[in-house]
Amino acid sequence: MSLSRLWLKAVALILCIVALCALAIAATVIPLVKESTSTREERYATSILDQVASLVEAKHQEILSYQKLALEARKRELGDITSVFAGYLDAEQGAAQNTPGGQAAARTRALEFARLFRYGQNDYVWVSDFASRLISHPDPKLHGADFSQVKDVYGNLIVPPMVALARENGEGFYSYWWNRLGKERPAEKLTYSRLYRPWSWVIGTGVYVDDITEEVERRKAGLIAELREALRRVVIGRSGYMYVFDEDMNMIIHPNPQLEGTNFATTPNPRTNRSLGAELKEAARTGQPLRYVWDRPSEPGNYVYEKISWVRRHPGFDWYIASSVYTDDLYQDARVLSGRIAGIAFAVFAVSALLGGVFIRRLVSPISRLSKAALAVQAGNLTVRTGIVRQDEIGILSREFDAMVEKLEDHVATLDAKVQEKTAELAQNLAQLEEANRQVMDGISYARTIQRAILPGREQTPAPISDHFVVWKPKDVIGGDVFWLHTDDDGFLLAVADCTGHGVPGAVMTMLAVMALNRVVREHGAQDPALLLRELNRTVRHTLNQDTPEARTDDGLDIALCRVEPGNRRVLFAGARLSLYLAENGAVEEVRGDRHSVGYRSSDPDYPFAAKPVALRPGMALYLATDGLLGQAGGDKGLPFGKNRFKAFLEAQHARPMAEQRAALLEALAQYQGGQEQRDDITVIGFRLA
Amino acid sequence: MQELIIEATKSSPQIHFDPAGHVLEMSGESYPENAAKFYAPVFDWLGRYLAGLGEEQVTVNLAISYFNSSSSKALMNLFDMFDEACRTGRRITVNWRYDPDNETAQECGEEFKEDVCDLPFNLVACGPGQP
Repeated sequence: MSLSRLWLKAVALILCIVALCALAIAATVIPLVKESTSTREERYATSILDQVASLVEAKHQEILSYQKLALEARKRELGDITSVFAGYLDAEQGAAQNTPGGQAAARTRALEFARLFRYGQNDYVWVSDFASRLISHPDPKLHGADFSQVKDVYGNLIVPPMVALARENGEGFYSYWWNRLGKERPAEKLTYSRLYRPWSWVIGTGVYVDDITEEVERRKAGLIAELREALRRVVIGRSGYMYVFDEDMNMIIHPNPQLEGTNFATTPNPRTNRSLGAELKEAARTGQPLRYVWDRPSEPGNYVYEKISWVRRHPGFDWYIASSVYTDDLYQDARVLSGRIAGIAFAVFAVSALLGGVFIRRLVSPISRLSKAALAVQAGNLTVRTGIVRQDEIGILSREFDAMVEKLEDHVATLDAKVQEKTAELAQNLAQLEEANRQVMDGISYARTIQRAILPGREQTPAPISDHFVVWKPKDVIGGDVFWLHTDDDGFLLAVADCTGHGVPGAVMTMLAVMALNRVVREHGAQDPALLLRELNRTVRHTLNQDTPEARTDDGLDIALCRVEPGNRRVLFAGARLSLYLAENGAVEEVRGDRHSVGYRSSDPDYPFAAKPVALRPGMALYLATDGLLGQAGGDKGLPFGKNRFKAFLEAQHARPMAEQRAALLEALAQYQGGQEQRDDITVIGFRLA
Repeated sequence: MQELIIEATKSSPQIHFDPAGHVLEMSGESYPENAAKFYAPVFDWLGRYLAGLGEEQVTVNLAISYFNSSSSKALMNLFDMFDEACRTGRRITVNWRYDPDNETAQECGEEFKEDVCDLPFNLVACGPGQP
């Protein structure tokens, strides 16, 4: 089945909707996902950072408190030992009290005891007098030495301040720095001194606290190692990591072992060419993440990957803790999701195209059939039926369509039958009419022969006429125009008459006119045309009973009657509404008739028609015409031919042979008439005397 | 009374007589087969119209470019009717309109004019188709 437009449109619509939905989903979801994953990663990164920072802080506090506690313990220890020693001194001093000279001996015994006394890690006590002379010290080089001017490695006096402290406050703690065997750096010695009043002694003991410091360092290193382990396990995003560096930009902890321990103070940020370390520190200060370009753990040295770092400063250790993430990773999820959405959309697209195509085809194919059937009906085939049977609107449409076409077929068949019937009827009527018309026309053409018979024939042309032409053109085969001739010894009468009407009634009148003319000539002679007209008038009126009050008709004629007397070289002209035209030497003269018709009911029986004499000269041409020629419509405006046009013609043509004039006249008439029908009977006679 | 409107045919003129506006118009060509039959209702109407006419000024506009002899007679009777009406006090004016190129119409108009006595008859040369 060919692809129907409707099907294409519907499928295209569905696909558009699906595509729009997919696009809408993609357009809204993907940015959301992008943002949410990057926010999530960011939050993760910062929260990890916070956690690590607080962990470090906790550890820091732990170390600090250990340090404090250890120091406190040491101090107590020092105090206790000194108290013990002081107690011993009390005992000696007490025992010697009652013995003369015993105090000195006791003092000597005490100093000896002090010199030999040891505790802890080979720690000892010392005794000084108020002048800062070490009267007891385990080291033989120092025993008995004057320490009033001795300074430590930093230039501070050692013993005098301790003595002063004991004398002022009874006791006190004091620290000085000394070089220890086997240590490169000076070590801090924490010393406790107490006043022993009875003998004016200052007793004291001290301990190096670099143990504690070392212990702190050891713990710190332990923390770093722990942290390193912990941070190594941290993965932010896909491959983001954490790292730690100090105030001087030494990398303390970094997943890349080559970077750990190195100083990156000179490393620039490839993007800004400023010191990366400085920018990271700045980031810690402002709390804003730093964006820059770095390498990946999997591709060390290839500095092309975009990264973001969040940095926090830990003031306790002067550390900068940073968590970093690769921007690619941040959007990884979103990319995967987009891909997935695209894939799904495509799949949905394909499936809907398929399903939609199939389903819509089912919907549309009957419509296609329907439209094809409609086209066939339009083209004239009324036998088509769609034959679709369905329970939905399309089914209804098809059913009604089929019913309609059936009805149409019926109607057309009926109509055809009726039309044929009618046509046959009409054909019959036509045949009958044609027959009737033929009969009438036959009658008329026979009447024409009769009418022609009453017209003077060529052979009756009077002898004096040397040249003549006759134009006699009835409008409809026969007509109301007629011309009449009566020849006698002295000349002849020539008349041109226009009877009422044309066609059959006109022809009937012409019969009457001719008979009446013959009669009046017989009764009154052929000499006086005016008299003849008067008598003609009376005769016609009487014959038609138009001279009675009961007259039923009002018919008559117009006439131009010439009495030509060649001997007298004159023409007597009498006319009823028609004129005589004379042409000679390029000039035309019209001799007008009386303005009174002949024979009508309204014609005056006593009307005095006048006979006008006209001198005949050689070469003069004479013309008689009815108003048929003059009234013929034609030309551009459909106006009558007119007297002026006729006169102009005569002026031009009158000298030519009559036969030629006839031809020219018919030519001129035909040209002027053009496509117009002939309005009236036309009669024109021209003649010349010898 | 009602207007008289007769549509023109090939051989008969258009007739539009308006009794309310007192304007009677005929235009076209007149050569019907039976002029008496054609003009009978016209005369009939005119008879009734003139009978009921007071002193209103009536204008008759005729623009007939061709008429055969029987039509000519009918027109003559028409003018006689108007002429008589003028003699009995009516006020009627006839405007005979013709194309200046149509000398036949002009001549006929002149003849009609000569035949009437009391009827004002104007010969108006104008272009074709103008009312």
